[in-house]
Amino acid sequence: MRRKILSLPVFIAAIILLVIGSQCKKSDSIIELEGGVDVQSRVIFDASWTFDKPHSNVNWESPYFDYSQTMLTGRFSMYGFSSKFEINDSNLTVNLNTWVKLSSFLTGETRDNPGDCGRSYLGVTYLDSAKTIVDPRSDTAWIKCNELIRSGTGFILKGTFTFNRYLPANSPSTGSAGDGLPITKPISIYCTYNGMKDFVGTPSRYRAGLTFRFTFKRSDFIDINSTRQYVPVPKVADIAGNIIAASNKTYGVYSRSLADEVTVITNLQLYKLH
Amino acid sequence: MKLINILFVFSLVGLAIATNSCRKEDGPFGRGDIYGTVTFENGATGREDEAAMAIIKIAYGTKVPSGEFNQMYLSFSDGTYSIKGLAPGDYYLTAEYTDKFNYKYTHPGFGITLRSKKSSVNLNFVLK
Repeated sequence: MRRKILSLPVFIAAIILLVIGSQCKKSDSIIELEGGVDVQSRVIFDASWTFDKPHSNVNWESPYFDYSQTMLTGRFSMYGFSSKFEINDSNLTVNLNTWVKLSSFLTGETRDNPGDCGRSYLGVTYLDSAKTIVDPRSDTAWIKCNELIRSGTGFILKGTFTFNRYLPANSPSTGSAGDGLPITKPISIYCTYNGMKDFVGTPSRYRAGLTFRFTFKRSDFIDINSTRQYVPVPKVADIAGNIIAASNKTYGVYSRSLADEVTVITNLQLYKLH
Repeated sequence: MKLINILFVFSLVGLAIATNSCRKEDGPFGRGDIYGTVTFENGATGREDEAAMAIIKIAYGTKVPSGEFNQMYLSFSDGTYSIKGLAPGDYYLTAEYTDKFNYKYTHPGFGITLRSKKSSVNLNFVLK
């Protein structure tokens, strides 16, 4: 009987120990919290905003000879919009329809002149619309974007990049000036909204800025084996050494003093009157 | 003799509470771990890409964000991370990643309770 009395509390203690011990074996808990993504303030620019060309710029950079991150840089002086630029991040819509005249390539060095090496970076060695209008359409790059995607705190614009064109099969040998098929590739442009401010003055304006950045491979648009510029209607008197190439697949010379990958950075200023 | 039994039971219970209690100081003095992968929703690729060098922040003793953290860790190039030596307790974890275009990707975070000494929790972040 005495043994029973002793074993009862021991039994109860064992149960308590088991209960306490089992509490420690509960599985870990994980709760995913909810919360808004940290995004930029509203980015809505409609047709009432005006493109501020003098305070905007289109720049490019690429490693010199592709051996280091030491960049060659430059800009384009002639560019614009084919239709009003509009962007709205509340319903994720965008209309970007823009062009750049490649012969307005500018580094501030003598290489910028027609026939010199700088022009060959983009395959427009001899093209100079102001001097010899050879094939103006091959001298221009177009970007068209109609898709806007949010990515973190920034935006991605999806669309197409058209630059250069394939030569007509018979043109180099015959010298005919037929225009080739344009080369169009899909493009993703990173867009950062840099803010807006109300400037009171004469006239009072809202000013806003955006930065666009994208990278393309020159080899996607220029025949990497081309060594001589193809010019359909050359004016020999204009440029010495202007030679018709016989075997290029595209217009232009593929210069190897620049890396294949080129980054284009555009700073866009917009304004709107009060 | 009955008194001895009662004392024996109480001392056993006391010992159990003292030694087996789950509640210990939250923090780095344990054997538990939290590990996983940090990815981000890349708008350019349309995929969840691995976030190399993402920052993983941990706060001890809480399961909600307070703006203050006790430790920060970096993910490896494949987006994986591991936080070792955690004691049972409450933790708040969040992560953030900044890409080469300076776009920032974040997550509201996780409230976690590690209940045992050797808890090992797999926690993957998908940053937006």
